[in-house]
Amino acid sequence: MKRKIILDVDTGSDDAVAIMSAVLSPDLQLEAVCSVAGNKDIDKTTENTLRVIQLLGADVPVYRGCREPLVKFLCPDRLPKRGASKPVLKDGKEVQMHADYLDIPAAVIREQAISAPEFYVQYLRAAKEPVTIVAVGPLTNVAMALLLDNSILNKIEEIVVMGGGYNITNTSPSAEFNIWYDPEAAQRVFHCGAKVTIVPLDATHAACVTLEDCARFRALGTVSGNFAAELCEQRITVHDDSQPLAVPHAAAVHDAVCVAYLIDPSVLKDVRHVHCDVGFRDFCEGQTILDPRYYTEEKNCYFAFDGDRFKFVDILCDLFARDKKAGR
Amino acid sequence: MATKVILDVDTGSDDAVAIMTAALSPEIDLVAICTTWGNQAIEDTTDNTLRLVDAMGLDVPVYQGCDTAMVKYLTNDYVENRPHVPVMHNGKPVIMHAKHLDLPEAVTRPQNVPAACFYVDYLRKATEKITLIPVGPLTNLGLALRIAPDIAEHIEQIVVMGGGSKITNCNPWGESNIWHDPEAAQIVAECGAKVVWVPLDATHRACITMEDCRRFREIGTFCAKFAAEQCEQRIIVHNAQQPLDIPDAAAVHDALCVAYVIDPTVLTDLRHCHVEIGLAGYGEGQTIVDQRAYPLEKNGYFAYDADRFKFVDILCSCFARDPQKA
Repeated sequence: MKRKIILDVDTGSDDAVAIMSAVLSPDLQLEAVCSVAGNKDIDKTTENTLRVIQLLGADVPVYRGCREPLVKFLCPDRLPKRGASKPVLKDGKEVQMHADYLDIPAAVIREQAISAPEFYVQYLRAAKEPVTIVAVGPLTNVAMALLLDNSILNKIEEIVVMGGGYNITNTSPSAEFNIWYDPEAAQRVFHCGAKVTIVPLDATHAACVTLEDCARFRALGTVSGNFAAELCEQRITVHDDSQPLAVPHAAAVHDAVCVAYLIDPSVLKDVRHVHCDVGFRDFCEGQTILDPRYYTEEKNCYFAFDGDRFKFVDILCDLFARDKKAGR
Repeated sequence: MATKVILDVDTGSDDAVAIMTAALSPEIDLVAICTTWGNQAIEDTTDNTLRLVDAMGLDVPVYQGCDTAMVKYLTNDYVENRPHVPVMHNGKPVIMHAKHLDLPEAVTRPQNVPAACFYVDYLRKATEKITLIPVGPLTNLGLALRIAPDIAEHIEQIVVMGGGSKITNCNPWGESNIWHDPEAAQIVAECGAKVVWVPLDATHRACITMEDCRRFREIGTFCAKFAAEQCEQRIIVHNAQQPLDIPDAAAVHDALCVAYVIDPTVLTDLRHCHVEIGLAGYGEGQTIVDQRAYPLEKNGYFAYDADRFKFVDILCSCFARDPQKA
């Protein structure tokens, strides 16, 4: 039987790859996609999400989520500081990790009338069987839903989170972006009592996608294969410039690793049952703090320290090959 | 035309008086009651609210709200609240808020929608602006405003019982409702709708005396008698733990917010000012009023004083309308 999942995304280039993977997988039944503010503002992440769903001709409802974190922006000293990062140029054109709008047709389809947190409560209350939530943006919507009605926990099989990092960070010396953007939401989700699997940068950087892999995607000749190749190439350009990985000419495609994990759990390696807290303030804001002591605090999360990039790319190729729409 | 009002309560002795006043006032059209955690756990505040709704025979939907603060208890570094300590009176313990109101068990059930979702749905569909009277922790409204910031446009005003400038009650700087969920209070403070803060500075001035309780009892209705019981209980605790300027008197905080919607002149020193909430550590839950010559942008109205005689008159006229005899 197909495993039912709900995706929660801030689309986002790697979110787009994750959505396509979930739509195309014969093992997963994508019940809904919720958008959240993160990589871009909520209008853009919602529009981009709709664009991807429309591109694949998928019949999946999209719910617009929260515009800002639970409480972080209440404190002026916690507002994001816009660093003067220098643009990455390729062939004279600026390349971004996440373009404002994905380079596919504007959405004609619309999101549903109710918000993402309301959807979670309604859907999970009525659900006859447990559902897995795959949250690959800030955890605002999921935390909000748990605050609205904590009893929905009974219907959650697992929460797979893209976020955090132990030896690798990307937004501050201590923090990965998704967790840093809404630390309080992350802490609530990590400690909610459901099975929580964290897919941090340690795993997603190991499960990287190379330029050769992109050539493989493109050779499939499908819409999703081509689009995934474009997005990954764009990410490789930025990674090469600002955050080169151990494997040359490669990029992390974080969010899609979470979906691949549900298709084949062995794509994550070195998954450890740990106690994980989230730092809220100052230098450790948004840090995923793992208890390394022998007698740890109660273990509340599974944290992946490694990933299998060959298996990951094979899974993606298999999915994009199933796309019935021929590529441009 | 009666003002459409949604109450948000953690019933609670003074919440009960607020509900009765709102339900009986001809100036108020009580469209719903939301419950929140606070004085007691959410199951108990909801049960108490339903008990009163049933006892009054009200046809008002009750929506159960949140069971904890938005973020406060995620860390273990918040400053502990002091628990309610009972006062021995005639050999029996008396507490500010009994776990269960002394009324028959409720038959009515809460609606099947969380309070915050109700706010979003109801306010988005509202064809006129609605007055909100939250008199417990502001968690439900904090969530609703985060889910749908646009609902602020559908709010006439938010009359909050909470905070204190020169008077506090749960620690040196905090009043309970605000202290319980400071982040939610700050979301409300800056939401863009008109916010009227009815803090301890005002509610301690609009106190109810033993004399007033006798007046309630003479009215002879169910609500008047039940209000008298609640107020007498509060006076006993106030006398022992927090005596007011006027002897044998108690603040009945939540009801003052309702009285203000019925007659705004019950608040007598209402100042337009900048209000913000202290969020963590010492100062957590403090209502900070910017008193400087050049303050930050004024975002609310803060009441420093109230007219206790007018307050009691309003309560009496409402309780007299109760068709149910004591």
